Amino acid sequence: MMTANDTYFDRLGTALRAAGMSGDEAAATVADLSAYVADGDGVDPVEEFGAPEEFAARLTGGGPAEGPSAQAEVWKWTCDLYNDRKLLNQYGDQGWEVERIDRVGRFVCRRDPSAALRWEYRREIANNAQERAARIAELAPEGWEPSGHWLFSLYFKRPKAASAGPAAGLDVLPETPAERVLLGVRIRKLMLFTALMAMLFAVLVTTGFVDVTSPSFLYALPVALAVGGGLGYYGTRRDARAGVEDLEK
Amino acid sequence: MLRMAATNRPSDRTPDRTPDRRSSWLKGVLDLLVLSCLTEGESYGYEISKALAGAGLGDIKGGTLYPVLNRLEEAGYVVGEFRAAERGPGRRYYRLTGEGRTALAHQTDAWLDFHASVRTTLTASLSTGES
Repeated sequence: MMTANDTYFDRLGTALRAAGMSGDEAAATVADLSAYVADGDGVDPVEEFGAPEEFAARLTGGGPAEGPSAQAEVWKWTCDLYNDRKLLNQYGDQGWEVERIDRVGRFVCRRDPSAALRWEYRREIANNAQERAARIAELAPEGWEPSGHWLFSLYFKRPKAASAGPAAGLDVLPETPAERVLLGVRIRKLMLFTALMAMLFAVLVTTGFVDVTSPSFLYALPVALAVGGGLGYYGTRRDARAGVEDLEK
Repeated sequence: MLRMAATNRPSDRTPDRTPDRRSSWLKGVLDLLVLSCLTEGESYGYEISKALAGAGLGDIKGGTLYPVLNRLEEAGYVVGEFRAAERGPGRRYYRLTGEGRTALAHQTDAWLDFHASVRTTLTASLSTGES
């Protein structure tokens, strides 16, 4: 027999999928939030999060008020965590509004030439649906709306008119950037270092210094990959939390 | 018979494209709704948006609300002023002007006339369909 909470999360899942969230992500979000409600003693999801359809709109950054006009330009791009805020604000100032972040981590932006606004952005760290819901509720009174999340990064947007009024208007629209991937110096150096290490490894293998068929190598490889991946993930999250940014162009 | 009964249930009468329809309706009247949120005193974006959502008008996003507030400010119907807060970030507060109050009164009358005509026509079509 379905309880009131089951019905709430059923409606939330349907609304999340209808708003464009993938089935897996919607299921994970619902599972996370149901666990939170189940842990809390007598927590009412309606009181905690609001009506499921409105909550889904907040979580997905969508809304019923107005869809994109037919003339709206769309630009999808990505960057690294050391440049994201700087670039988002730079392009937000050119009228680009991030509508969502797609499955491969690209910012899906739109700009309506007939009604472009300047946008400002901020990034928060949130590890799960519960933390995302808390950050969203915390920043809403300041006019910040969620524009998508990727791993632990939760992005918010706000029209600059929220503080500057009509003075934040946008008369001249720069052309749509041709770039799709904007990587900063730090990531480019890391990629160069990784390529050099791969080349060194290839040399060691071809010259016989490393035997890729030996059992010790076969045991060490997955451990090294897991440790390297874990350190990379936690290092990046630590930098993101500390707000580390690329200073060089 | 069963089919007729089912189609007369309110939930089944709701067209599939209701959200799009509501957004078009809202477009024509949002400026008046925003002005009406300021009749009791000054307010700011989030509070206005919350009041409209509380009235059942849906979640009005900043990208929709602020262009309307800008247009109202440029028309002289509201005055916006950014004020720094003692704690936390500052906010832009909006206040209704005399001109805004007059425009709201006139436009509300015009909207209510229009609404009455729509209601009469649609109500008549409903009763024709039911008979």
